[in-house]
Amino acid sequence: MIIDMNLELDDARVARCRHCGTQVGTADDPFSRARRAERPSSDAGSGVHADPAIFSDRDVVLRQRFCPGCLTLLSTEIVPRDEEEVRGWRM
Amino acid sequence: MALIPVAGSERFAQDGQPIDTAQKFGDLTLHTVGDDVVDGVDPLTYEVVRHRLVAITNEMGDTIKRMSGSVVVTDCNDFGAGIMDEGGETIQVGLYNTQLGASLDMAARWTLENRSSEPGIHEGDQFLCNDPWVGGGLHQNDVTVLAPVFFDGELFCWTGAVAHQVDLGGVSPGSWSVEGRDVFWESLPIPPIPIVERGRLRVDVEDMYLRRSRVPRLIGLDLRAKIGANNVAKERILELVEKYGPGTVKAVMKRMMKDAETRLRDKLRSLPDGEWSAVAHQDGGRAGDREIHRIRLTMRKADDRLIFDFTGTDQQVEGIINCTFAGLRGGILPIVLTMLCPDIPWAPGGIYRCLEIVSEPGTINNCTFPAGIGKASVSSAWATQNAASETIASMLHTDPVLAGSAMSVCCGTWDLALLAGVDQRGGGFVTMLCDSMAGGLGAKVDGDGVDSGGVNCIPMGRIADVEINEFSFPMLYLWRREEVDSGGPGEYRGGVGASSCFVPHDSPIGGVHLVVSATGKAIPQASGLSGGYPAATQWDVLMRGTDVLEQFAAGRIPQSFEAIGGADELMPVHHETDMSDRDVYFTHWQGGGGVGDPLRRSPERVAADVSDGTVSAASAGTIYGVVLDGSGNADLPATDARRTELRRERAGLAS
Repeated sequence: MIIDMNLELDDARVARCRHCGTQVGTADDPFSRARRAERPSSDAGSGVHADPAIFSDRDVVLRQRFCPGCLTLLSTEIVPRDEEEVRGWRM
Repeated sequence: MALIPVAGSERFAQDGQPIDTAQKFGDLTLHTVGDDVVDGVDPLTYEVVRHRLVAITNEMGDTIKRMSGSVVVTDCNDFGAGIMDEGGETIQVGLYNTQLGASLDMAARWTLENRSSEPGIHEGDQFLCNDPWVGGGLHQNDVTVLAPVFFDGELFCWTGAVAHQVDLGGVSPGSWSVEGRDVFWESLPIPPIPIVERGRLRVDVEDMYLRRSRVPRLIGLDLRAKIGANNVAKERILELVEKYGPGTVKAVMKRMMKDAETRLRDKLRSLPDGEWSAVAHQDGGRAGDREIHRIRLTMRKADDRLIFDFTGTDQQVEGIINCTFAGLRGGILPIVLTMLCPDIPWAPGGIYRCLEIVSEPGTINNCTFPAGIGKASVSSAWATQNAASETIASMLHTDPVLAGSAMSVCCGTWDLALLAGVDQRGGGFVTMLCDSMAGGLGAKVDGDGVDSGGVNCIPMGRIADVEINEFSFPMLYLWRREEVDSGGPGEYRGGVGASSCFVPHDSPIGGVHLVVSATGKAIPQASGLSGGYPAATQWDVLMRGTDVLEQFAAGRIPQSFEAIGGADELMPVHHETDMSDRDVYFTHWQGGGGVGDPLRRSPERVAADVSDGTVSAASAGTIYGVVLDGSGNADLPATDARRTELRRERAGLAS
């Protein structure tokens, strides 16, 4: 089953990268094997117009997950650093 | 000061559920039909009457536009109209602001339950309401006028017209009291009261209503526009009833909702069961607040139902960004309509039967009285919309056909720039600049988002011509243009947002008052999907003491910050200040989120983006990994090498 542009779920309920076939997770924990990186939100490019510290005391980061095989970018979010990962899915 | 609960305010709270129309409502008799009549309508008659009802809703919109004098309404379409059945279930909403059609049912039901005995509901009555706990609108500026339609002595149905009013009092102009801590800083809500009684306008009630506004004549005109829209709808519905009979018209109304419900259930059944989670942030609940507030959504699809569970959402705040349950529904319905129901009748009464909402009262998108809600529509309601957009689009991505209806989040919020003062004709004015109606649309699984394409809660939304704004208000534009890098990067790029830059002009008092309220400055709000980046952050700058007047006199219109000069003030999220005729304001609203990994975007498309000015050469290299040659074309071998390097770098691996 197709999950999104990068992921699919096979008959064994394993979440795999659609580009290289590497296992990324399972239907219940789809990003369990994904590679993660956290960087300053300014690394998201010139679309981040000002330092978040001007507006908030909380540290704000660019948080991304990648396929452990081909390093395709699977998810991107800009969130407070102290906030747990919320975005995801379960089938 | 902490929010202090107000005894008795619970009776204005609504749960959004239909009421039992078999119960007694004063002396009213409700017109109903049995299921056999509903099922017995022939297909041809059904389609003819259904389309007529859709046309009546559209004609209500036309009436509002023709009678209103507010640019927000006449040129930007920030209003809504709908038809409800005898029990208040919404049969049809128009293509204007669908947030405003989301809770007309709640307001009609509350009126039926609380006004039918005293003062009574009579033929020719119309009720005014701007209490978002009751329903109708999302914040106090959304004023609803509801009209019961009678036939042969029975309450046949309701019509409702609602529009954004530019000022209804409160501490700050435009009723956006940026320092507000609770609802008492704002325009006080009015629960449903008869503004028209048996066909006659209640001038005493009108005086009570208009007395609170800084621009009562304009608000009075809008009031008449909505009363007129209801009058037109009543006339057209009764013509339809005379022609086809009340049973047939009512049967079509019921069938429209049943049809929408059946078709949505079928569509949901065709999708896999699962759950999708999203989060929406807002930085700052009022002026001076540095906290980041969160709405959390877990959407579950189970067979033919969608459950929106907001467990984990932050508690309501001392500020202006909370929304009531009506706002929460206003965050869900526009996305359900546009992404799930493009081929299904927009009959919310039927659509809501497929949805379940789990939300704790007292949270920022289901707040209790007296939490501040002055900015509800474009704060917590809009943020709810962003979260719903993310989860519904993700669900649709699982189906190769339905994925075509999905978009990532569109324009993360409304960049409020409100001007007030004395206009060039010497009269007082207040207006919300509606340029941010041209937000960027989210990217799709098979294409880029539409640049400055709009906002998804107002399908017919538009921006006023620059010349209309300059004619109507004491201002001159330096520019209004699409902005580079404002769409979220991705394999498919989010549509770019835009900016406006203007200076006060020709006001007899020399300048204008400015109210700024725009979240998304610390955290962008239009998220991407499948690895796509969010759109740009909101960005507002006030340039003080410029020499633009001299430049105008020399025949130049400066087109950059550097050319404008002056001292830059980066605007905080919520702010209020005065502008002189030498102060220039720049407001840059958000685009749409991207879809997919930007390193998978065709290098040729990135080169074209750079050439078109939607992506900068710098972002082409750092985000898209595209190397351009001296002619601006993509250098493919160099791009391959750069992308290989970037893949490792961004994942935290040594290159």
